[in-house]
Amino acid sequence: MKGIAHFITGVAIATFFPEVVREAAEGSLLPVLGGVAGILPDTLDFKFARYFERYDLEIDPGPEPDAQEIAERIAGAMRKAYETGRPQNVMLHTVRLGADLWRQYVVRFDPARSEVGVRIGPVVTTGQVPFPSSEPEGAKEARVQVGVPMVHTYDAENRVDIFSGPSFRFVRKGDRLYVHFLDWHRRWSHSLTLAAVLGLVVAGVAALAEWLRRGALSHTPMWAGLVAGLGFAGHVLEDQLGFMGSNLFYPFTKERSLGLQLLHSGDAIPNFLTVWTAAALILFNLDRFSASPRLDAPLFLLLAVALPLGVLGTLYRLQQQGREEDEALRQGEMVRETEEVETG
Amino acid sequence: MSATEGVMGLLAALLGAAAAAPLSLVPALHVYNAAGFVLLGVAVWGLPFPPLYLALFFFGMVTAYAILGTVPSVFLSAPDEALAFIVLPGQKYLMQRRGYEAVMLTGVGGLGGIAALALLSPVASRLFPALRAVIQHHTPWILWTVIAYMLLSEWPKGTDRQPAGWRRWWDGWRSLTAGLATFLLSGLLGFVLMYRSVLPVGSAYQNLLPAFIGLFAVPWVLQNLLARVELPEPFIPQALEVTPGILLRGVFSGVLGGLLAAFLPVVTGGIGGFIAGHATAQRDDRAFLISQGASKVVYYVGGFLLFWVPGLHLTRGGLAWMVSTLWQPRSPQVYWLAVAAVLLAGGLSFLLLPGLTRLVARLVTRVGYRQASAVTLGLLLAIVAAVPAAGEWLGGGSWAGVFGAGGKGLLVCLVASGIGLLPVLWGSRRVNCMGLLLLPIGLNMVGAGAEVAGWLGLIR
Repeated sequence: MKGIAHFITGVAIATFFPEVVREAAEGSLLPVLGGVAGILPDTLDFKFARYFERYDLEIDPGPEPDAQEIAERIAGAMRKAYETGRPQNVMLHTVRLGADLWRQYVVRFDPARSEVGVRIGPVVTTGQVPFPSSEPEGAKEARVQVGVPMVHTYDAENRVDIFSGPSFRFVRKGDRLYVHFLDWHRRWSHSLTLAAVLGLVVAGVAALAEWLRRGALSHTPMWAGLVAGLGFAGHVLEDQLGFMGSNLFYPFTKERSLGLQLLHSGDAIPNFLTVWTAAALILFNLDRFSASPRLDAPLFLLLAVALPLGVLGTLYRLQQQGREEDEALRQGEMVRETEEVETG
Repeated sequence: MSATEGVMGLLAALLGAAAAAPLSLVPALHVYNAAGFVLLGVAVWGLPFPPLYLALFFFGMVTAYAILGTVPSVFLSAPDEALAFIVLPGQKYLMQRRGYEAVMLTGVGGLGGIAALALLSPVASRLFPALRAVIQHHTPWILWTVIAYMLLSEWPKGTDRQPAGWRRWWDGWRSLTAGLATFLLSGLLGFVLMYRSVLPVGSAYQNLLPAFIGLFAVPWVLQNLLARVELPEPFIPQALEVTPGILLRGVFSGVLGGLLAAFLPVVTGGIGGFIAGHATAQRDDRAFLISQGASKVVYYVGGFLLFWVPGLHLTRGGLAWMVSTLWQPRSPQVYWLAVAAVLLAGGLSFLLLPGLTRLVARLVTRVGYRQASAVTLGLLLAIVAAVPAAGEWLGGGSWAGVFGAGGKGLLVCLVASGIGLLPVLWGSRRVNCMGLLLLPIGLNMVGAGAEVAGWLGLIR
């Protein structure tokens, strides 16, 4: 799911504890800690783990990219993964032409034909604005046969243009080749074990800080630990509703458990519903734990939570009928999750 | 309230909209500056008619500004703090000859925002007082939640060309570090301006204007000048390509963001729109532009309308604070008159939008984008100097004081522009410049503001 959905879920979980709400009304920032913990698993991946990933092949197309050469090198890595049985981790670099200029190119996997396609695109600014007629003259998509059986995967175009490029991991399982997009994501960071460890660490650090400051201990460190641990766990469990799933009990488990396949983490409706429901529950909790509650609880829950869930949930289910194959959906989920709103 | 008073009130609102229309086209001249001058004039010369008419005149002004202020934001890259987000997609459209379309999409969003305000008006007196009662003790942590999300949700922007490990990590984290530095430095500037402003007391009501212009408008214009951007001939389409779905999504998201910004202190329309854009997982530029238009209208107009809601009378935003010193709304009739004024002024402003957009587009094309940017920069600096100087002059300051106020305004703008250039140079988010308000007020709300000001040597 998108960062904001995880963040506000963490905040909402924190408000289910009356003591946390009462302390927050007196100036404590404990609910913010829930939000920070809620977004932490993706922070660990996108701001740390990805930088420590080692690649078997880094393709740097240079200032004059050759579509045929890029496609051949990708296909070569795929064949190598299949023939040797050793997974191949491949990164595609962007083409920077100036301080604010980039050359766009597009990579696409075509599992039905077992092909890789690469096309050189226009020159774009850092705002991804293409310059008209800046495509290379006569540019066509270069297609290269991989020649090994591929699992049907995400086959939309992967645009490589500004800042850093995408990465893929080619893995042979049985007699077929899998294409994993952004393989470093949800490998160890989305773990319930880690959520428990985080809760204990936060509680310990808060207790130590309180002891050093006041020479006594209150219940606040315990609430801090609980809010942080549950906020983190909330993220992991929400992602589990999607297709890709996570490595739930790392380091005790090594592989991702498949998701429940109820929703696509990048889709607008589930993200909005999560944010809306969390915001409604926050309001509900703030009210019921206040000195003089004002909301009619059943009516509020019916109108602000159940009704949107019912209406938008049904609409979403109708939209979902007749979509792609599972493996394509799983890999597509990884790609779409990285498409945050960046507006300046 | 008699029918004549009602008609006079609506005429005052229309007059306000007509007066604000040309002012909205002046880059970086904020409606609050113009309203501030009117109020200073009232303080000096008195008011020859009932204050209700002045309040409705301001309603017309703020509504027109909320809709027409998009024109300089898109064509001259000179946004206010509520429209800072629109410049990037706006420029994208401008370079694709679609500047007119960008403005009209934002205007359609603004009209949608006005329709949403009208639809909400019958329930506002039940909904918002209840909402305020629930969250009023919780605004400090809610504000910090907004700050935390704003800072944590920015992605790194490295090129991943360094060897894997810490060197590659730092390559990515440079932009994030620049973002954090921007937030902290603009927050530091906010502390200085709020606790020990260099501007004289007579200009105190415009204390933040030079900083906002320096943070948000000057860097864009400098970038356009240095990058030697040339504008292609704009294309004026006969119709907008928007599906009902995109329109509804954009308006809905913008209204949510605008309401968030109007209701919560310090959160501006831009931040509200940004959060709502994330919440609705927006990926379409048209929906984004529409949502920003709706968000800005709901933030400015809806924020002022909250002051009029029976049983609420919430003072949010500069205009409500200014008007509250002169007059307080007392009856539900006045509230409904305000709603009618918004509808009328909004309708008039939207009708003026296509013509004024064409005018500015023609002007910018004829003069040339670089020359227009140079003129805009000159105007920005003139406003930064003139507004504090005029405040000092109207407050009865000496000529030395008047020139000193202008010079100090330029000094604050210079410092703010330096900070505002950080995101341009390092590719981080410009919204981090909102640290100017968010950091000092956020710390004040949790009771730490005075302590931090003490560490900084701003108070003893």
